Amino acid sequence: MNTNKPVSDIMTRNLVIIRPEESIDQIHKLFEQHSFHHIPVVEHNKLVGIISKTDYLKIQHMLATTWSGEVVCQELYRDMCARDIMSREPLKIEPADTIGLAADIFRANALHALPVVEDGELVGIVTSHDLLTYAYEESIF
Amino acid sequence: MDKWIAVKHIMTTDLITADPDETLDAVRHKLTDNHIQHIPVVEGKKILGIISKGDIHRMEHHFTLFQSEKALESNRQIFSTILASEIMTKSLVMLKDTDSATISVDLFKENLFHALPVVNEKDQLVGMITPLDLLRYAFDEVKAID
Repeated sequence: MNTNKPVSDIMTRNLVIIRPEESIDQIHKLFEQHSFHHIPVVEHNKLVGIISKTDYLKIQHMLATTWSGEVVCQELYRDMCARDIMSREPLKIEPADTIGLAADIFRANALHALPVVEDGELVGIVTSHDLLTYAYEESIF
Repeated sequence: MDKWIAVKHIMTTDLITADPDETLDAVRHKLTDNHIQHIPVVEGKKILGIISKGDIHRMEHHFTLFQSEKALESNRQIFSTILASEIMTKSLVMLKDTDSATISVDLFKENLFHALPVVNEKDQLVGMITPLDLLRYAFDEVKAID
């Protein structure tokens, strides 16, 4: 396996992204419709944050209305947006960085997704699944 | 690297486990204190279920994010009375310790799990395997060769 190949060779380029002012409802729909666990948050083509399914689960209860707090829940839920729940300044990598470096970052930080950024602009995302596919399907042994 | 290597050679064997009658509070502490995302619920060496951090978040009061007094009190009550056996996922996908790394990669690519329990021929829990274990094996192996 060649770990010196650039991550641009294995990253996902066809991304589902979200803007910072997008509603929680929209995030809910995206996680319902897709099997991915991370959504990059982008403003004017620049990466400003990332939302993981875990971030979303922490506020998911607001989607459910309860007899005790229905009105408050609905108001809070309506007012919240992607910016409120995203992780700011996420770890990122550049397209020319090596697959080996991406693997080191995943292992050191127990991460599962890294946005790929060129001059501040989001160009892709690389996940632990991409690396596993590369490592285990490329291997001829 | 050998992609057909048995998972027993790369899985984590030093496991933190929960008892079925342990409170959710104790389970939550075990997950947080040990920086783990999943905990198997066991009776002796038999695995009964698994609890993830996501399961814990689903149980939290909907205002936990805002640290409201009501939410914290509600969490205290719920987490001190509900038992591991009541919220664990019981329908498990498991691997045999002799299954190959490639089989686990295929399962993880389905994107339904981030950790899989591994059992031996007597169906006893002997380890857990995660995508990070598989990455560690693949990339450390290459580094060692370099």
